[in-house]
Amino acid sequence: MLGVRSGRRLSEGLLLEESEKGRLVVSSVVDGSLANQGLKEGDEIVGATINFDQLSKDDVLKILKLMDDNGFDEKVQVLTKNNLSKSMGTLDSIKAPEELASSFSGENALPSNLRIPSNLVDRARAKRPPPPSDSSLPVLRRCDAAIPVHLSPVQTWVETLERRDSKLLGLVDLHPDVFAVPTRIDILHEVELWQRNFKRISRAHTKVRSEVSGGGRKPWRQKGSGKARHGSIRSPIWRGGGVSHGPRGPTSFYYMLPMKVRVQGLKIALSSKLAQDYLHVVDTLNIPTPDPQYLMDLIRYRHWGESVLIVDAGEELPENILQATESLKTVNVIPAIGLNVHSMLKHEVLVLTLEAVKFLENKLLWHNERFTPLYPFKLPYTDLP
Amino acid sequence: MSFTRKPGGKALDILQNLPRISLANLRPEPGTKKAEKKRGRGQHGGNRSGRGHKGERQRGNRPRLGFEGGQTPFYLAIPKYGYNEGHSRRAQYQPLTLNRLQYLIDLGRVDPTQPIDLTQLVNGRGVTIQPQKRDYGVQLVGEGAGIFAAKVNIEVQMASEEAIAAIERNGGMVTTGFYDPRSLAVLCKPVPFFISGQPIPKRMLPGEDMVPYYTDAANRGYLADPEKIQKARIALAQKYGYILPDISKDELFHMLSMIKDPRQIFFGLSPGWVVNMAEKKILKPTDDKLLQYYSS
Repeated sequence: MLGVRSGRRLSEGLLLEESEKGRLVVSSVVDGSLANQGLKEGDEIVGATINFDQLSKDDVLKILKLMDDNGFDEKVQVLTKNNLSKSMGTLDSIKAPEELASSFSGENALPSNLRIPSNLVDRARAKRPPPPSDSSLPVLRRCDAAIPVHLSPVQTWVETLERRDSKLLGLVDLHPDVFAVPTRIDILHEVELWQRNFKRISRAHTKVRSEVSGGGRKPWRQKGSGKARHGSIRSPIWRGGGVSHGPRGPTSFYYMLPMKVRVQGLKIALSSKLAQDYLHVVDTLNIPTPDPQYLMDLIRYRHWGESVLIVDAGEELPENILQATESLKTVNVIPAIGLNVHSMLKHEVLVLTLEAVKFLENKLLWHNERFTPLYPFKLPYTDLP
Repeated sequence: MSFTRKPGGKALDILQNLPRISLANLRPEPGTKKAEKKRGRGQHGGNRSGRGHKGERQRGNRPRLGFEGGQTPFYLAIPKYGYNEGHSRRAQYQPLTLNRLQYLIDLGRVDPTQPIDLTQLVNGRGVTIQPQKRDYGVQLVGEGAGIFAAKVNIEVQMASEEAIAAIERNGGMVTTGFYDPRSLAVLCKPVPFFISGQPIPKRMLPGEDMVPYYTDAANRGYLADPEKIQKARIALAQKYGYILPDISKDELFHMLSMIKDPRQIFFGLSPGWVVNMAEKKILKPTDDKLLQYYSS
């Protein structure tokens, strides 16, 4: 039974029942104190405010699950503490429920001390739910590799870049071991750090006291001059002297993460892009004009995002798209071999062609079932499982 | 809600409602990165920085490791004895249990219908041989003799009696052969060797100390007399109490009886040949001196 909040918990004072029209009606009022609320027998209950402050976590989840089953859309508004701290009269400034998110308990509730700036989310960019299983669009590509029995392929739509407002061409099946891998932010962090540091050669170099010019002779005699005792004018205490513990010469920060960690990083990045609706699949990269404005229009019309990374399989990319993206800073085209975690995280949106999807699945799934290398993989192996 | 068929599970569901993963959101798992301890950077110019108080300890002038203040140190007082003399030059043989061999055959990593060589074992990632670390090959060990049930023609570098008995009981053949370090490296990693373009070397004969081992029929040595080996097979069957199966009537008899020449490294390739992997060709020497050298 719903507990109505009015400063004290009153849970046994109210009996509700369903009338013939299917509405919730008060059937009897037992406790005398409820008469203060103005509730009488026969009153219809249109809405209720539930306060989760004093309920346990299981109760909250039960209630939210109940409401989820019945349709969570406009009938329910979730308010957080900083919304409630204003007066209830300013309900208009509260955001729609879909935009509120939580980092704990897996349900839709933001932490109460979070402040969101008003321009953070592009309101028109609504997250699309994955394609329903009874969709009428044709499946343009199924997975080549065998899918484990306990998993099923993830699906997403295929679009074109031919016209700005063209319809969806079909669906594509994506292998779950590449595009639906559980997210590990620490692996992404590791791979990102590696990408930044393994190429780094720091050329900072300072001279030690022996390398600084001069300073071989004792400046003045040890005793009797009244000055402090010194052995050389280039000791680190002196102005112009050497640096005792400074950077020494070109330093390399090269290290290699295991191959499988790097591969897993790519898979996690792809999966998270797909899960957060930042992945789009396109049939080819043929665009009608080499005009960069066309691409920007298309991106803005379709509400993709601020920055787009376009990936094709082969080395030869269509000229139009190359010309169009050459002058654009936020839209970039790369071949699929150049796909890396840093670029994927730097750009908001990832656009793959069907061939790129095939290429990536091939390359990334191979690592799941290979033997350890005896010699570099570039040399021929007769029977590499 | 214990078992979910959805790929990625609940993590990807939660991710749909979270902010976009970007370069600003990445962090390592809490507890993995511990801050480094900085010494002597405290108040009043820092304290003693973990060096102690005065003396050699703080001033960095301690004597060498092992010094005991003038008393004859332990490492000089104890007399020398050659326990570890030449330890880094001793031959090492990586053990291969019959358990492991059966496991590899069952999983299809090693093919029992072809002669099993060290190359086949390494290709199936059954053993790891490091020729540079004084490994001289693989030794067959009898653990798992009770469950071993595969008919194989196997060539190893050493074998225990129990292992030989277990293999011959199942109708197989064991041979022990010697590979000098260079031949072993070629045998373990043939592809990089072929790419280097050198002619296949001839296998060297064992040193003085190993010749008795490889000429003994009881060890199934490759230099031993075939008749003596046959007698040893019968003797071993009697000792361990099994009936020696007659492999000459077997359909795979030809495969089981394949043995390498003492100077040969690969089946089907002779010393002196050059294998060209890119063009898939084999080049054979024609000069007399070379032919004489390689066939000696």
